[in-house]
Amino acid sequence: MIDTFHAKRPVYPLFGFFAALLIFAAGLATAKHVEGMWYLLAVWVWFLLFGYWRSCLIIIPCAAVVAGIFAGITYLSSRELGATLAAVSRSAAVCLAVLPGLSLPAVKLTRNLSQIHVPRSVTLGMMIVLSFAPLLGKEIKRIREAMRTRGAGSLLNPKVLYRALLVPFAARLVNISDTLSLSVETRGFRTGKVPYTIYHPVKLTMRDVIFLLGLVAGSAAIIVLCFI
Amino acid sequence: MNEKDELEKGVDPEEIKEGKTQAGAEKSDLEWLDEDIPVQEENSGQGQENEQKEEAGAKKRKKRQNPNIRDGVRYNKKGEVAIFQPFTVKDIVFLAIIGAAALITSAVMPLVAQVPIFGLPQLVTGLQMSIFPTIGLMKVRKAGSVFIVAVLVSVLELFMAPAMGVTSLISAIIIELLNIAIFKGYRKDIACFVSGMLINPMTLPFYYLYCLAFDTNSIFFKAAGDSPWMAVGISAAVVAVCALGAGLGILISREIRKAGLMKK
Repeated sequence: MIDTFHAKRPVYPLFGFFAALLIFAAGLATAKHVEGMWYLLAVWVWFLLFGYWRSCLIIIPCAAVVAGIFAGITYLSSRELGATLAAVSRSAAVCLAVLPGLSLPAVKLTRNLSQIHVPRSVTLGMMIVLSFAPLLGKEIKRIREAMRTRGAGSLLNPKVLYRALLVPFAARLVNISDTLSLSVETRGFRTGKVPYTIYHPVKLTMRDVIFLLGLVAGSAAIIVLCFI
Repeated sequence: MNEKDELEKGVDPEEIKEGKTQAGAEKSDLEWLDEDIPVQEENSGQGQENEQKEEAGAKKRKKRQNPNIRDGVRYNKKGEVAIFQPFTVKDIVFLAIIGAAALITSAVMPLVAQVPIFGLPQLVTGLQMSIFPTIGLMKVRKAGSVFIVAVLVSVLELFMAPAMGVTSLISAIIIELLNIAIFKGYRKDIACFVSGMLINPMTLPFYYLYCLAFDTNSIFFKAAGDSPWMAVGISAAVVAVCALGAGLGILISREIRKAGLMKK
């Protein structure tokens, strides 16, 4: 998604997808237990071992801010230390579950999905969603800069929000989609059942299997430890 | 020495015929001139093979092409415009960009993800999740558009919040079914409005059912149990915000169309 988060050698995309689900489920299920925190720490180290060091380091301040906010809200509303700890655990679980998705270049996921014969329309759409999300964020910033230059006023004013932000943004979306669809069509993309080849197929390696097996074993162990 | 000289010398005419003599040999060498030379007909040989291949290819193409689709529009057996229209690359690209816009503007959702009020994430994302899909539906007026947007968005949501991803998909399927049953596609603006408005509120009951089935420890599920009237109030607010968003989406797309940027 964002280049700075991309790992040099991300795990097999579908395994990363499954890992995200697993961490999210196990992290939320064990949020109320102290062992749950240890599990999340182990998952973080596991990611670090598999070359996700960049995203692992970047996620620490983000997780700290998010967990701090939620822990604060929870403590103020409940005055319970257990509930606050659970809020921290949940926030950390969400941040860790996002890691494999953030570290994965969009094109790898698309190639992987194409390999397993997912319809072309879905893979094409996914690639656009993944790679255009940051670009659209920049578009919003540009429109806001233009608003500031023109002295359009505050976004809290509904008329300004509609006329100066929403309409230009929607117009820009239409323009971008027209250009992009032309570009895609000229490169031979078709939505029908047309045979195609994958230039760089994503291969499943032993490293990916070890990564997933370790994660599954850890998640199973923590659930057994907390509930059985 | 020719044939006449050889005959005068007393050579057997049979031997001349068989080519055993010098004159006979010369004659047999030149006989091929009298033979009919086979002339190759036009389009025979390699040309004919190519033609056969082209015919076979055309037959295959014809077989692959749906005879009911003309100029990119699918017709039913009665000759009317069918409910399910084929999606072009242009449609997919536009819907994907709309999905990306909805996703990027919904980035505020994680900020309220831990606040224990049922429906609060849907409330804060209601406006964006109704404006953009409605614009998408106003351009790509084909049954299945909501489902495509939901698939593209929910695949990413699954990485971050699996429950949201699953409920988005289920609600998109139900919205499509309702649309087909009531409006038979998105040809009317009201169909776009209703579908655009329902995308977010539809996830509320399914999210509740999801929590009931898989995640009873969810803070939202507990909040709904603790203060049900607040949950009802928030749900009503979600519907109102989404109706406003869908209305805005229709207004925006009409303005863009008037400006000549968007074609129906």
